Amino acid sequence: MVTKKETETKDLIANLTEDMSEVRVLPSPLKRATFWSVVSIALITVVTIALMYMHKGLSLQNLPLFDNNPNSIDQKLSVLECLSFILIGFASLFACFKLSIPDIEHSRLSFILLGIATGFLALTTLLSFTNSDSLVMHEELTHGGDHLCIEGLGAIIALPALFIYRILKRTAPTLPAWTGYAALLGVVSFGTVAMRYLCSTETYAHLFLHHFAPAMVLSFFGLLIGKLFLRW
Amino acid sequence: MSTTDSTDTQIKKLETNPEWSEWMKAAQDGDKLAYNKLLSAIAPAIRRFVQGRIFNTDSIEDIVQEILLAIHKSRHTYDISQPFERWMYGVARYKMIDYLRKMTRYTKKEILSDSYETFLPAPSNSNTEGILSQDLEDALEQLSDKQRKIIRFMKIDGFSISETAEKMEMSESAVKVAAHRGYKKMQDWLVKNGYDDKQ
Repeated sequence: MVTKKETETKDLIANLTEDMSEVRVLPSPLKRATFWSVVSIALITVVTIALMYMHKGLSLQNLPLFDNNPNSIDQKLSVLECLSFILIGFASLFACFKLSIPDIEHSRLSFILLGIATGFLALTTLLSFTNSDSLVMHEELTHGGDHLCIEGLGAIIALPALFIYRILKRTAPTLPAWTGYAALLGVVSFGTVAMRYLCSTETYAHLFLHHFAPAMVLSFFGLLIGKLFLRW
Repeated sequence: MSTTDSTDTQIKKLETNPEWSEWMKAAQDGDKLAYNKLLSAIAPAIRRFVQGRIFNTDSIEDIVQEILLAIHKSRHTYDISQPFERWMYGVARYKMIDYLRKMTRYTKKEILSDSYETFLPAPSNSNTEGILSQDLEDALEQLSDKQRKIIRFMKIDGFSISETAEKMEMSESAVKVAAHRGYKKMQDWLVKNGYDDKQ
């Protein structure tokens, strides 16, 4: 026997059919991740160059690739670090766009990629902490003064993060908090690379306090943003 | 390993039909007939999916309708290379949990307002009785005439869906769809103007 509410459902189906039109299907997560990685890196580069011009004293001699400062962190390690951050940025965005599509059981790949990306950032943060000179750390904590690097990181990632969240709003994530986290982790990873170009201080203590730890905290804000903003 | 195995078994147990994916592809290209076939075919499967997970039988059909609306809204996210049932049940589970969460929140609010009722000033002593707050009035202003009338009939004058449908000379499901869109529009406007949708 068909109930009254089931009849309403039938009417609803008729209405939805009447209401429907052709839709533009979302490109694959890989395509979207590639596109938004390129856009994010481009935006971050523009803002980084703008900030370089705004703040005198910052120059391209600090580039990890061309650094001649004998006291700085090993060049090869810096290059490896930057390349790894670009890779985990891409992996996070790929996971983010995979998570933005409904699925009863999200693929393990998304979570593996997110786990690797989070693990890498956590490990980098931990290594920068354990390698920090205690005197430099004390100096950074007591006389570190301003938080230019943290503000810089925020400024650098703001635009791409905004664009990606706007794009995600048009999708249908069934795990909004994790999607939000993956999006911010991706952009923050790119931003962390840019900060290595923008900032002239090359000590582990500074990197821990002003680059990696804030990057981790910022990424975790993605959980909250996703939960509040990406529900549909 | 055991968790994955149980999940795989759970997915295998869900109803599926190879035609669903083809109908959805055709629907994405604008084929109304295929879309009608698809929605008509998946509605019973979704009903059974919800029935197996919900104790409150009164809510089942409302949840099914919410899920169908969500499928309609998010149909552009379906990728033809992926199994349709995974996508569909993904939407179904998300909307079912969302519906239950909302219901729990509303129930709590109702209990709370009942228990505080005696501390509130008597409505007869207040000249605000029957008048909506300015913010809600402003949110209502954002709607089309039809949506505004429907929401006023249902939420302010207290008419049922069928009574509203009769007054508006519309079908009950059309009233539901219009009301749903109206609520969404009001919610978006209120959130944009500083209201937290969690409140």
